Order: sequence, then C-alpha cells, then structure tokens
Amino acid sequence: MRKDKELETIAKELLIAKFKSITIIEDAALDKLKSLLIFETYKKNTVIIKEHKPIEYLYFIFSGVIRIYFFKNDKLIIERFVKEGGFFGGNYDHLSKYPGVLNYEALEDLTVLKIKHSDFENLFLKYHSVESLYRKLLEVFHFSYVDRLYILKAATSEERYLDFVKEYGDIMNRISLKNIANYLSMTSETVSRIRAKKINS
Amino acid sequence: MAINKDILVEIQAKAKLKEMFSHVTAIDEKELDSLINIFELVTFKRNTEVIKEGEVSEYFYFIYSGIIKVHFYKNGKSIIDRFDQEGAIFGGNFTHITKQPGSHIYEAIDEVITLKIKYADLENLCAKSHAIERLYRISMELFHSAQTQKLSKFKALTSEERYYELIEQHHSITNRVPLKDIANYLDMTPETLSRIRGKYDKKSKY
Repeated sequence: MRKDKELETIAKELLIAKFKSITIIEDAALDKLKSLLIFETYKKNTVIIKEHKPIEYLYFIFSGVIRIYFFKNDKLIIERFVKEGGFFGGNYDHLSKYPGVLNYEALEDLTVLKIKHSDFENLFLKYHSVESLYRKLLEVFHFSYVDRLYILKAATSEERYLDFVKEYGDIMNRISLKNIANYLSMTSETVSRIRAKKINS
Repeated sequence: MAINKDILVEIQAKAKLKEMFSHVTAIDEKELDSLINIFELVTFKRNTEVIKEGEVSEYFYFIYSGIIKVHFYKNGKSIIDRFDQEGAIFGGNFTHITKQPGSHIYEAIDEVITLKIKYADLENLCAKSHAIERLYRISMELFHSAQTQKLSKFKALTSEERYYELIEQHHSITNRVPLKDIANYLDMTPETLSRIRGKYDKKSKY
C-alpha cells in the first residue's frame, strides 16, 4: 500500500514536470490537475477500453506497454503500441459520426495516471493554460504519428521493420513476435527472416 | 477590375470559413473576426505546388475551392496519400513545430483558392485569446480524428472498398481528378480501377 502511494507521487511529479516543459501553467491549475489525476494499475491482458464503448478517461502511461487494435472480418489488426511516457484514450470519437472501433489492451502490467474527460474539459474552461497544454500535446502526437503512418503505407516489409525498430526498439523484447508480425502485416516467419538478416549484417 | 473580383472572392471565402468555425464551437463574433481577419487570400494555378518537398511550411491553408493532391516521392515514384477538397484545412504536417523538412508535397490539381494563416500568428492569437485557443484545440481534435480514421481504414479496407469510400467522401472527385491519380491513390492499375468503376456504375443505375 505504502509503495503504491510512493509510486503515485513519483508518477504525478514526472507528469507535471513534463506538462511544465510544454507550456507555462499557473500553480493553481497544476494543483487542480494533480488532484484530478487518478493513479491506477491494470493486470496484463486487461482490455482497458473496449470498442463501441464511450471513452471516459485520458490515460498517461507511467509503466507498461499497450496494444491498440480493431477487428476486420473477425481478424484482429494491430494499429500501434504505446509505451511509458505516451498517452491514449483521446476522446475524439464523440466528435465524429463513427463509433469507436479500437480496443486498448495491456500487454504487461500497466501503471497509469488517468483523468476523466469531463473533468479535463472543465479545467479547459477555467484555465486557458490547460487547454493550451492539451492542444500542444495533441499537435506533437499528431505529427509524430500521422505523418509517419502515411509514409509507412508505401514502405516495403523491410522498411516497415526498420521503422518499427526505430520507434519501438527499446521495448521490442517486451512485445511478442506474434504481435510484431500482426502490426507489420507480415507472417512471423518473415519477421524472423528480416530480423536474422539485420543481425547478421 | 481584377482586384475587385479578388476582394469579392475573399469576402465569400472568409464568410465560408467563419461559418465553418462557428459550427465547431460557440464563439463570440468579435473574437472569431480577430482570427478570420488575419487570413489572406491566395490562389494557386492548376498543377502548382503549394508546399514543396523538404519545405518547412509556416502556414495553414483553408481550401475555399479546388482539390489538393497530397503525395510524396519514393524511389522516384510519386505516391498519393490523399486528396483534400473544399472545406478542408491542410498545413505542412506540423513541420513548423518540428522544423524538420516535410516529406509531403501539396499540389493543386485544379485552380485552388485558399485562405492562409501563418502558424506563428495563430499561436500568438491563441496565447492572447482563450476563445481562439479553444476553437483551435477542438479543430485540432477534429482534424486528428479524421486523419486517424482515414489511416485505420487504409489498414482495414481492400482497394475496392477504398474506392467506394472515396466516392462517398468526394462525390465529384472522379470528374475532377485524373484517373491515373485515383488509381495511384488506391494502389491499383488504371485497368483494375476501370473494371471496378464499371461494376459500380452498373450498381448505382439500378
């Protein structure tokens, strides 16, 4: 119990420090933000957000890896992974006419700080700086994610593998070969072959 | 006389943009005008590049009329990512934030009339006005959500399904974009595209 409390303090300090490096936020807003962040842990293989369900929280990962996937003709297709330092659960689906089709699942035991979207929205109304923070987080995320994925559409298997190593290299041994192959739309055998080639060269 | 026509187009384009923004969120008209007023009218002739390869783009563009083709080169071959048309906003994929050269080229397929805003000016306005920050934040979410949905679909749909999707999204696109560009976008040969279109046209007749 005591250990959890300590972890929670560290996680919050870390996240607040990150926020402060993005934009100037007044102390009152930071205190409010801190009080609304909920520390939570999930066991490996827990589906944290299910498809077609409203997304209630925005999650900041303190430790662990998740996979984000959807189903196409009953086949599971992995869209991407998110690791420590990343966030997920942007509540954009309510803005569009499509129901959410994505599932978010913990690949390892996961520790997060989460904030209710409705609480976050209330903070936006009250504090200009918090709204600005969220917008800037979103901009950077959008750039690093969307642009890359567009380029990847045209990449060869080998190029996609190299991009995967660049993006997820530090957590590669934490993601199963099966999951990697699915994400890259290749067979496990092809991934193994490319991997062996890269190690040899 | 030409100048007068431009002024008229600018007024119409700004009215359109204003209408679009006022659907995004409730916003005080004076605040909204302060944003609309810093947009400038720019027209691009057919086949000109609005944003070039490797350019650090400092502007966002709102398309009042026309179609933009977004593509990049890979081993000397052009690969089309998407088409943006009337009502869309595009910018250099946030190259203005990272200061990294962009890989994408934004090219006018027909005459494209845009309103542009300097990203730095928008940022200044956001810092000054909470209402504008709010409008931009929500617009950013909408933009992000639309793009990620397109990407998910790309991963999930077959070329044929993507053709139907394209027609749904841009009704008139097949009349305005060369077939070879549509085939490139769908990653199929022009022959395959013709075959699918033949099938589709028959279907829509009955």
